[in-house]
Amino acid sequence: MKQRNLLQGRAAAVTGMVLLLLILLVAVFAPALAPYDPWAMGTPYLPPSSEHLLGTNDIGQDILSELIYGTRVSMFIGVCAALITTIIGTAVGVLAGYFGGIVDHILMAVTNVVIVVPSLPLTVVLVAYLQAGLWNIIIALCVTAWAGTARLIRAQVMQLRQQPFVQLERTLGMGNGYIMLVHILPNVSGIILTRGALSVASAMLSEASLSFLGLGALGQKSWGAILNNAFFRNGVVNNCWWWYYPPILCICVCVVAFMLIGSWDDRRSRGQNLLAM
Amino acid sequence: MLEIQNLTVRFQLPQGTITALEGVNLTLRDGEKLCVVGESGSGKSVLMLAVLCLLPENACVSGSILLDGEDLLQKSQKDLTEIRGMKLSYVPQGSGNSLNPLLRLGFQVSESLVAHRRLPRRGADQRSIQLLQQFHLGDEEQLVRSYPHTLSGGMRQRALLALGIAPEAPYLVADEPTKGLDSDRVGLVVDCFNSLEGCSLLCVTHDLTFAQQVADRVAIIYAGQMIEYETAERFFGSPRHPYSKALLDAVPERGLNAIPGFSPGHEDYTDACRFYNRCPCRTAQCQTQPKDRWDGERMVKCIYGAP
Ligand code: SF4
Repeated sequence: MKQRNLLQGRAAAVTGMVLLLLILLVAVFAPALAPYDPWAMGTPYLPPSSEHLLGTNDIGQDILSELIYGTRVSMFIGVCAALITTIIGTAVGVLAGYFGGIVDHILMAVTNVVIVVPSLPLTVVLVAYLQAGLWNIIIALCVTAWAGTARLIRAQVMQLRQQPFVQLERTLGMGNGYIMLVHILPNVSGIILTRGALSVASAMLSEASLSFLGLGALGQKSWGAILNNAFFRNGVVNNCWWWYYPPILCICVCVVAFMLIGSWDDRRSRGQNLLAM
Repeated sequence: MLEIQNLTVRFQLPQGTITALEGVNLTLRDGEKLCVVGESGSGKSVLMLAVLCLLPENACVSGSILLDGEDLLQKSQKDLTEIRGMKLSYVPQGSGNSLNPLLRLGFQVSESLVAHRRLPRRGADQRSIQLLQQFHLGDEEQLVRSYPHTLSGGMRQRALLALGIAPEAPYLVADEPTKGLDSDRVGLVVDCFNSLEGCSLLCVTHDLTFAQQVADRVAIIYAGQMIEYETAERFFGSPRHPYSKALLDAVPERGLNAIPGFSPGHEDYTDACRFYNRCPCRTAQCQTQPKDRWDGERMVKCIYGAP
């Protein structure tokens, strides 16, 4: 039974990775794949046809091309935000869990505050204050997102710290930095990878929400931005389904891909289950 | 020289304070092999953890542990890191996760050599193989590349011994090094310990047969107190404390006569001798705890132990 769950987990993860690979290929080869320049204007409100597979928007830009180029923006923001989130979360979690005591108290106090702050409103406020550049959006997305990862990692590290092999390292006279890097980190890599993948998913969703609200990166055609256009530039009123359904679908596929990868129960995280026993 | 002076360890628990170890005095001379013997729960592991400065945070320790004249209990974490790598080495129990499940065995066995002796990584693997060969693990070249979960319990115990002796530290602390080993393999451990030249060994064990083969001196712990401290020769010839006698009678080779009764729990400690309830020689005098009766280098905590 357990074996079967495991295989299913692996199948899901492989599916996720294949999806991700496809998405990445689209992002990398966007110029070759896109039939038109996404900024070039033409006849507005064209429904899908053989010429414009997904029609055009209110100023005649080809929606398929916009989507293909949008893959780059959305993925870049999602992956960068997740990377920063995961690095901060891991650092905070490992330090708090390993040292305990006063270090833990301080770091966890900060983490708990960050966790209770409602993240989307805060992000909205931040973006409104910062200029709406690409990196400012990424920073705003990271401000609260790391806390969950930090808590999970801290809990695991607190268990690991009690493990005989960590105690042994101390009696071997290994420094704290060395123990954390060589012995603790590999043992939480399962969580890091899983949380990292899920962070990409949630960062992409948040980015889409921000862009939809018109707070996205200026001049960047992310999927959320296309959606925003469709909403506020008469796409919905004119019933241009080809304008607003495709970006929603793209976001969904991407999020699902990362969530499937995040469900991966690899050898390392199983090692942790062994530890927990 | 390792001198433990008046060591008392208490644990603060929500249910109250537990005295795990009370007024222990003992000395480990340079090059000497000392076996600390006791039942589980007697406090012998607490003694070992105290020496390693690995007691959990809720422990209150008083007394002193002098390693070459320096009190380990007063040292900062940083100093301890240095002492542990160079002077004091440790062989943990093989059961449980004493090895990191994600790192190769060869890496872990010689890890301290790479860190403290600046041995290059490749030389270190060679050294790991040599160390492991000493314990007849079989196919050591292959073994250094494998992960700990592929080892059996006995193999892991021997790998940990290799790891413990790798730094060639002048003080070695071993925790039940023969646990789970059959008698042939115990022989390997005995050979290993006896071949450690100039190394002082503090070995916690409950295996008296093993202790007899390696120890120069024996300390018996019962219910948190050291009750006898004696040279191995004299101890195995004529133990003085009634508990020691009983322990030796319980060894399989001597007829497996188990001691009736159980050692008292921490909540049952009274003013009487801790062995009172089980002691065949008790008298009314034993209602007050006997003193540690030192006579040169030997000690017995019993009214009958007059020199
Ligand atoms: S002091 Fe008395 S009770 Fe205790 S061991 Fe000696 S004889 Fe037995």
